[in-house]
Amino acid sequence: MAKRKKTKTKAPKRELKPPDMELIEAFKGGDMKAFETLVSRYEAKVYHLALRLTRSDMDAEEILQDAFMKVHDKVHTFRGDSKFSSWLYRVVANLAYMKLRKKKRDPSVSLEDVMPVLQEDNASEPILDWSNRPDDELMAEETRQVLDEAIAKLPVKNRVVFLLRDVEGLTNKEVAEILQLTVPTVKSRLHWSRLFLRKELSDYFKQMQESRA
Amino acid sequence: MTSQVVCCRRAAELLYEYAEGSLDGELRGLLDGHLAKCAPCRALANTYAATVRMSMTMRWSGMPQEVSVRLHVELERRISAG
Repeated sequence: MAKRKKTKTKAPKRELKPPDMELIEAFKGGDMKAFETLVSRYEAKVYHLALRLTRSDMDAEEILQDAFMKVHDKVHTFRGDSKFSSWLYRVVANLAYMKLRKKKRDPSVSLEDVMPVLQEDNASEPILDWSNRPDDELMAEETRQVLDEAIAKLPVKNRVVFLLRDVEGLTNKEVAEILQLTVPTVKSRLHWSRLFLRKELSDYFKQMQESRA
Repeated sequence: MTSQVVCCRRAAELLYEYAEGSLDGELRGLLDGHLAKCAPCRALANTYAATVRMSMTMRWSGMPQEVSVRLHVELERRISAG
């Protein structure tokens, strides 16, 4: 077999972004441009986290402004022991908790509420397997809306764990650090949230299946 | 006996570690064996994994332009007010 000729492919030019810590140090030294860069870098993430935690446009916008003011005022206390994003997410979570404290309390949650009934003798009831549905159905706007509404129903302490871990893609350790929880607590809240969302999606697909029958 | 080690309830208990890929080889093998034979547990594991996959697509991007503009104006105002 003839050897395939190697061709050099040019990597797309990427603009080098300064690391967060470099911007923090510049900002500590009085460089306001560095602060603005940090704001622009994180504003969308902060806004969406706040919005999904509070479910209120107004509260989310207030949290967004307060969070970056806190960064501005307290930057001298940030020593870089953790990532800047972890520090920022902790500020956002705390501001959201403060807003939500005035509203209704989270209901207590148990695994039995979200886990299908399974028998010890391996004779469990059938469970609908909707995972093999085509991607265009799983990723359809309507399904995403069902998932979004289900996320909104999660108790806030579980929701923040779920959003940071499964949506934002942080590790369990990072989430534990941000929320000042133990890793087992993060895992347990995440597991409960996933089971809850799975149940909500299952109800939706079951309804869809019944309406087609 | 292995058939008693991984019954449906045990399978459900192992679901999180299974989905994370953090089960040790032996336990994972036992659970795979159970899932191959048990349709309800297989459905539970599949739909749990699908939920995680779908959640990853809910990542946020962008924000309303007017919110961003108001943020920058408000920060400037508060900072200059001291």
